[in-house]
Order: sequence, then C-alpha cells, then structure tokens
Amino acid sequence: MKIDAPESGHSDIDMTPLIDCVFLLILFFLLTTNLTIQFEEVSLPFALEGKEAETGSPEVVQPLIINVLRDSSAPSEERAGLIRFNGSTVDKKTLEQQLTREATYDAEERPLGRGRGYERGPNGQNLSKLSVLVRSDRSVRSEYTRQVFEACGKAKIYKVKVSALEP
Amino acid sequence: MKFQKQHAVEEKPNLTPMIDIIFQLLIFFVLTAKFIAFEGQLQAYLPKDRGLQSTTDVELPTGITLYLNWNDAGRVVCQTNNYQMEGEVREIYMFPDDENARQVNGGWMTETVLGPRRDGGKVVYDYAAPDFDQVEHYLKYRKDSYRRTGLSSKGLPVEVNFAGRVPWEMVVNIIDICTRLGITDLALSGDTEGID
Repeated sequence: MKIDAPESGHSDIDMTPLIDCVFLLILFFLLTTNLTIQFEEVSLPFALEGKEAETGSPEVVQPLIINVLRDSSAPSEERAGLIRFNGSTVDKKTLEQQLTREATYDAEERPLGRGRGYERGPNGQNLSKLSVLVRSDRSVRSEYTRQVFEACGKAKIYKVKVSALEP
Repeated sequence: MKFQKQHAVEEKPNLTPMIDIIFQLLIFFVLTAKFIAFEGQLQAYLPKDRGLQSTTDVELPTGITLYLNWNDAGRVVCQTNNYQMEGEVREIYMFPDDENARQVNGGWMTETVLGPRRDGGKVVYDYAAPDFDQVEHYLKYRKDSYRRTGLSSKGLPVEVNFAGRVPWEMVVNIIDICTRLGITDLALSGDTEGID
C-alpha cells in the first residue's frame, strides 16, 4: 500500500468562525458583568413571599438600588452597616440629596429630565414615580435600613421594595 | 524614476497575538462573572400621606402595633399592645421566644421561623428570636376579625415599630408575614425604648 506523504506546507485552519464566537462570548460577559456591578454581594434576609422583579418593557424605569452592607471593619457585635449607592458609601444626608436629584430628574420635563412628572399624593403633594430597591444585609442593625427609608421619604419616593432570598 | 513593481502577494496578518489576548479576556470575564441568585422583592411602600412624622398621634385603636426590641442579653423581643386573641385581652403582650430554636455553635438555629419551608432550609441567627409562627397566627386572627367589623376597605393597619439595634432580618420576617396574609396597610416606624 502506498501512503501519501503528508504535505510539507502547514495547512491553514480557518480562524474566522472561532474568532466570531469568542467575540460574541466576550461581548456577552462584558454586558452581563456591567449589569451585576450594582448587585454588590449582600447576605440578604430570607422570605417566602418575595415576588420576582418585573422585567417589563424597556420603558419601565429600573429601580434605584441601594445596598446596605455589613461593615466588616467594625466589631462584629456592633452589627454596623454601610449604605452604598451608585458604587460609593454614603451617609444619610448625601443619600437624601442624591435621591432628591434622581427624583427631580425623573419628573423634570425633557430634555432636562426624563419627563415622567409626579404622582399626586392624598394630600395633594408631589410624589416621585421612581422606585427604590433596598438590598440590606440580614444581620445589620435595622437603623441603617431605616435611614435609607427616611432618605427615600424625604426625597418623596414612596415605592420602596426590599430584597430577600428564598430560604 | 523607476518604481519597483509591487508584488501581488496576499499578506496574511498574524492572528496569533490577537487570539491570545482575546482568550485572556475571555477567561477573565468567565472567571469574574458572578451569577445572581434568585432574589425576591417584598413591597414595603412608605405611607404616602404620613410622611416622616411620628405615627403615634394617629390613633388607630383597631390597628396593631408590633414592637421589636433588642434586649442586651442578645435576644430580640416582639411585643404588642391592645392584644386580643380568642377572648383574651391584654394591654401589653410579649410573644414567646421560639421554642424550637436550639443553640448550636454559639448561634440559634430555628426550623420554624418563617412558617412552612419549601425545601427544609434552616435559618441560623446568633441571638434568640421570637416565635414568628405565633406572630403570624395572631395577625391572621386579628385580620379576620377586623374584616368582620368592616371598618375600613384598606384592611387591618399594622405598624412595625423597630428599635435601631434589631437586626434587619427580623423586620423582614414581619413584612413577609404581612405579605403572606395580604395585609397592605403596613407602616414601619422608628425607635422607641420599649413599652414596659
């Protein structure tokens, strides 16, 4: 039997589909990791009745996410917390200002804002249509979470939701 | 001037370094990507009309106020005023601690908090907690008797007054119970020194 001698020149593999696939994967991970930046790791409390977040249409304005983390630098019996908003640690006053700014932006006419306007409250006051998702550590002192609630109240945001895990 | 004739040789760019870099990036993102666990959301809408003022001046004789306090012995205490249950009436009532909680490795493990569990999961606290099954039972009883009186279309008003040192999960347990029972008129309120 005669065996063909292997060709001496190295055969060219077509790299194009491979590169296509890899680029797609990279894009996918780039986009999804951007989305998870707001979801800092929080040990959430457990609850049975939590509803899945509304994914909804793109016009639905996503809730503002406020994380309350356990402050690991404080002694553990203190159960101290850190309020995190937009990637930085804030105190109640700053949070209140930032939320008020968000609420104003949401209500303001275009092009200055999103143009969604206000909702009328029962006493005729303006209430923001924004919603806030509070992701608070389960063991942190509840006063930190309450500060978040108070800041929301001052910013006229009443749609507050809290995150929990299914046990 | 004489130009050299350009060769019609097809130049192939060397793809190897690019592929190397792309694989590096790919591995980086695969490893850093964190997958989000299923997270539920509980509605805890703030009262539209009461704002930040204390709600104590709004007398709600038929409503329920639950007081959550932190006792220095490392124990969360749940109390209520105006307790009415199956003919028993008390001005102040303290819900008993969870009897099924056992102390293990310095923490309190309980299998009954949060009612029936779907997958047999356990919750471990590092402090003693009240029996939330009893709280749920009581709220259900009051809600049903409130509905019979037909006082308000909004349903039984429940206020949770929690001290700052109470861990957040205790408050969430009560919000969870209220959501389960369909109690929509729920208000969270501020610090007190307890009611004893």
